[in-house]
Amino acid sequence: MSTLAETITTTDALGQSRAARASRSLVRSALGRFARDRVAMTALIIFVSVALFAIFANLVSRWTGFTPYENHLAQKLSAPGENGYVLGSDANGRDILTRLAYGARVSITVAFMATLVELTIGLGIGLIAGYAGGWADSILMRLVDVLLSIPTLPLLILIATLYSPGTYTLALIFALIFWPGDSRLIRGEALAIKSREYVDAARVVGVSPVGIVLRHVLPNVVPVMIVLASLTIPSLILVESALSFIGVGIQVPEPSWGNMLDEAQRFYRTNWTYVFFPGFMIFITSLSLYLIGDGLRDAFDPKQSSR
Amino acid sequence: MLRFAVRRILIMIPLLLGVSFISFALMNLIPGSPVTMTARSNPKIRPEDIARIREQLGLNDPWPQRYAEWLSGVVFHLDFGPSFYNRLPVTDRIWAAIPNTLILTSSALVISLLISIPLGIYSAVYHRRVFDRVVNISVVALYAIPSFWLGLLLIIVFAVKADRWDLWWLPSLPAGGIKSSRGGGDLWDRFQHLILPALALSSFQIGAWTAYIRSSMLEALGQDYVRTARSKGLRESLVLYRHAFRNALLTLVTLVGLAIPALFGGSILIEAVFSWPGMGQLTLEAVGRRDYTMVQATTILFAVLTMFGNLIADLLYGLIDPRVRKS
Amino acid sequence: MRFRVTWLGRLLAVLVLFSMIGLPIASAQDASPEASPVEESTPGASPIASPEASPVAATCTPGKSKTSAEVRKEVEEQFPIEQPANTEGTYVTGAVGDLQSVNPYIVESDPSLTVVGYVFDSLFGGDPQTGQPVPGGVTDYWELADDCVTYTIHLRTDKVWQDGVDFTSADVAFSFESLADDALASPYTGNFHDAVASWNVIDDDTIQVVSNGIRADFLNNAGFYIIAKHIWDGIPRDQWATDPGSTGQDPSRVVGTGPFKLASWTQGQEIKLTRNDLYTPFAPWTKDITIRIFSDSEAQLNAFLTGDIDDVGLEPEQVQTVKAEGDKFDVVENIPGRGFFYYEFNLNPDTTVRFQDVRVRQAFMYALDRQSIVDNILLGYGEVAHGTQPTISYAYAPDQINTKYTYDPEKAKQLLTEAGWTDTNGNGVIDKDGVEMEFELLYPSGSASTDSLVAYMQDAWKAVGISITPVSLEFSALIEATTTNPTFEMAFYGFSWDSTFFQDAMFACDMYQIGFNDMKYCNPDLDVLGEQIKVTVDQEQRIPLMIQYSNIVNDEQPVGIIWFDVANAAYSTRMHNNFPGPWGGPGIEYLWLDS
Repeated sequence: MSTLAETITTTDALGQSRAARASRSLVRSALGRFARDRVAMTALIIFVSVALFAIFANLVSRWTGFTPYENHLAQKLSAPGENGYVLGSDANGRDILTRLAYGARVSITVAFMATLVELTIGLGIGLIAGYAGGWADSILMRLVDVLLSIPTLPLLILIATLYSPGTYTLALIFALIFWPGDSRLIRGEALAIKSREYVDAARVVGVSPVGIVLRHVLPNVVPVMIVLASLTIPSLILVESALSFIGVGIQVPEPSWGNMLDEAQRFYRTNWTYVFFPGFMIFITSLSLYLIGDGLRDAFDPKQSSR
Repeated sequence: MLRFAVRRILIMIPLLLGVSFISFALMNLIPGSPVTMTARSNPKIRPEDIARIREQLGLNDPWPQRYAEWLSGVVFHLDFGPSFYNRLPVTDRIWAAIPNTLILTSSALVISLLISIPLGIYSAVYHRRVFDRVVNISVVALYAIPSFWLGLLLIIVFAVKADRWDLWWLPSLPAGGIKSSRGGGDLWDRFQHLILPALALSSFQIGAWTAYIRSSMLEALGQDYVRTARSKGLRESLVLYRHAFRNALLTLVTLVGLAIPALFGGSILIEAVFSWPGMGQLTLEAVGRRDYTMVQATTILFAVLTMFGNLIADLLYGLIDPRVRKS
Repeated sequence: MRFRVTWLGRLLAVLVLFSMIGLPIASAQDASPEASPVEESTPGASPIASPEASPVAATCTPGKSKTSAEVRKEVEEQFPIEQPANTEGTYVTGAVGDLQSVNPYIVESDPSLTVVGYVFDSLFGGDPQTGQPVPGGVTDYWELADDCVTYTIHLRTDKVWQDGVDFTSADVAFSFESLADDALASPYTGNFHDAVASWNVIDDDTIQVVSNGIRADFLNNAGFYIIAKHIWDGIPRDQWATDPGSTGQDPSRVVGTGPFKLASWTQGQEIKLTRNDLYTPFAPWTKDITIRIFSDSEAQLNAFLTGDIDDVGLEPEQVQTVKAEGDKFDVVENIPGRGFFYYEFNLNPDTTVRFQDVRVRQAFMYALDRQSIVDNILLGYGEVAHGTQPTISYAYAPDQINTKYTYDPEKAKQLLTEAGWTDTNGNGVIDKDGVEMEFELLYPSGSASTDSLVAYMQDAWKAVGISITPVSLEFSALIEATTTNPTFEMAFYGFSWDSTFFQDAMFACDMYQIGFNDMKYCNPDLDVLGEQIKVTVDQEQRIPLMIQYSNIVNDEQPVGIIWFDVANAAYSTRMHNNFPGPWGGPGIEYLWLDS
């Protein structure tokens, strides 16, 4: 190898390792700050509890003694504590607590999966548009503009009526509808990073565009992605439950917090607890996720902390 | 500025075309047609009768052709077509439903402003005090709470329990509808029907805007020019309102513009919970009946509102902050 | 007549509700039933007996019917009619779903049917106790000739159109012409051609109608609404649907001979009707009717509880809510209904082979605890179905039904095993020849009781090794999947019968995809029996045939009928002469309200 090449490699290696080390230590210090944030940690504990509740739904079922689908018509709409139902029973005599656990699975799965796919698409498109620039950027952003101006809720209603989606289909539909907003944000970030010095340096040295994107841009986009995810997941939990509430999301008898609330609203006069619990689950899940998101944002940029 | 606005409005046209095309296509892909119910309600109906009804409604033409016909009607005559359900122009029904939705969403807007502005300002002023901490947690709660659940809880407390418990401080409010049927309809009656749904609809905004105003105020209060103003000896409140708030106003104005489409979307849910006869109800009904023209019209309307909301937000932002005049 | 179990309308409750106030529903019945010498076919011990194939000498009882005045007098004696203390009252009621049209030849759903019933008269009236056609409406009396197909209808001479124009037989002839005209694109043209062969105006007050063959249900099927020639003559029929007289935008063109006139219609909000002072024999005792449109039944109930509307149909769980209000309202429970709720199998072997064996189909029924469904999901408001004729039918005879499917899961399992369905692979689901008994059950969305029911059925059938995946579909999509493009395996529906209670629309071979025979069920012998029923004019003779029909279907289980429905409703105490029932009371003209 020639001296120049060695220099290039060294510089490149240095640059890469510096960028990598920078982002690694950034993340590490952020996590440290997060751990000291009492509110965020409490929220994390709450969310993890809900997640465990979902993951171990079958254990919950074993403990309560009910499966989520078994009917006991004679004991329908029992109050909490009555007839052996910890939180009461629904219109078919099914145990609410067990169904909340299985419903948690649905809500969390849809939200996380959709976010994953959505962010992946948004990341891909956003990076290409932001870094490549030029006509690719123009075309992609025009497309994003069109997609962003489509009213989402009516569109979701139409699609859901068309496809009667299950959990995974619903997640896919959400991802396909909500990615444009993400791509715009990521594009902005990519643009900002593109103009930073180490990127210039890398380009001068001759690192390929793909290499730059992967080694420099991507790691620096990660904090934004994390924050974005922390906002998207809870909002998708709310969207899914809204759709199920109207009746076009997850279909009965499969439990979802949203469709449980839909059934409960018929009985609001006589069984307010049935209205309370599913909604409460939606509430604390999205609340804890938002607080975690707040905490992450503060952790990554303490100067912007508003607390 | 004007050029910017004009350009944006011009761009809306192809966007609306795209939206209308997509929704028309989707609507026609859903199984079932406006004639499905007809065919089902009468066993003696003959296939040729159904065919004739379809012919009369123009359903036998392929849907791209129908789209083209609908489009020319809109562009040349501003005619959105007749409802498939009752053959009356869809605009009539929409015209009747829009005021209800507008009343609901603008009330929610006003409530949100009235509550979030003072809340945001004072929690910024009393930064790190108890008031601030309480507000801080509450705002997240407000925008995390599902609006339809909140609506149901409000109904339970104010419509059901209030009757039962009979407490002097707990007013009894109606459980739904826009006004009482008999002998109602006066302002007080309508207000009573409006307050709960508007509150439920506004919770998200109250949360989000309070948070933004607060952080915006905090940022502004820490800025150099404010320090300069303070050091010059200006009164605290003057400093506050003139300089810091104007800055916060910037964010607020953008948020209001962006909130408009969100409010219309959210009104679909609230209208369902409170049986409010607005656009949301209309949309759900129309989809159920496969009233193609009605669904088209409401979707276009939502799209227009979304675009205008964004446009207003951008325009106002540009007006207030001269640094951002150019897009 | 179908009804929708959608969130847009608890139609049965509403239909029953409105029919209580007097929606004339014509049906076939000879006014003076006498024993007619019809050959009786042997009811047969085995349920799948073929009736005698020899041609039945279908005869009738020719002669003159009672007059409408006589009929009305009889009706007034059957009901405790209170003379009005106030004739200026307003009756306010509700409807879920908006008006579709006020043209009787176009409408098919409520509230359009109700409004049309107030504004227009039909050719005949309906008996409030049995629903059978009687002289009434625009008819004074009829005479049936010896040929059993020629009806000479003597119209009422005192009828006047709401705009003052005299009513004559030309209007009836014009109505018939319109119905027969394909250009009208009316859903009822088929009905018309099925019932009427020809007609002939004799004079201004008399018209002769010839039935399409000797039919027991001619009068039921020929009871069309009569429209005004002077309004509609000259307007091309293909434009009627969009005419302001049909869309209700021009009330002066909405002209009938019925008890109420259309005053106004505000889309999505309310429909206002006002008294027709020219109505014969007497002007109604209520001055105005307002129908308020609600987005869902919950809103309608709330309006009722606050006194905004005068009556409401009740879902089972709403009954207690209203009763808890004490004496403020009159609650009427267990109003017998005209229909039933059932699930249907797809019997087309090209689509699925699962339900070909009758033992399998019977097993489904034995595995359901229908009494528990009625007690717990319907809160007692319903009757476990035995046979196919609902409670209110004249052919209702549960004691004569041979097979009673009382809840017996063991028997269900036994039948399934006999038919060759066992769990060979140990997955909890029975199978046969490599086919698992696992399929989707399609059902209409929007009704919480149906959601509950389907969840129960899933659970109950799971216990015998049948695995269903409930799929709730919006009504249009459901119809697509079961009738237009039948891809379904099992579906759940509710159904309401007309006053003839002839069920060939659901079970005849040629009703596949055209009528309600989604199942592609075909029993040619049953069809012969069905035809025979249609021409057996005398009800006494007809009933055993219908019971036989019912038994055959009950044993073959192409559908599983779960319960016969009943309705519940609540009324304001201000209403007088309100007689809730499946066919309506003596008429809306008797209703009056306190001021």
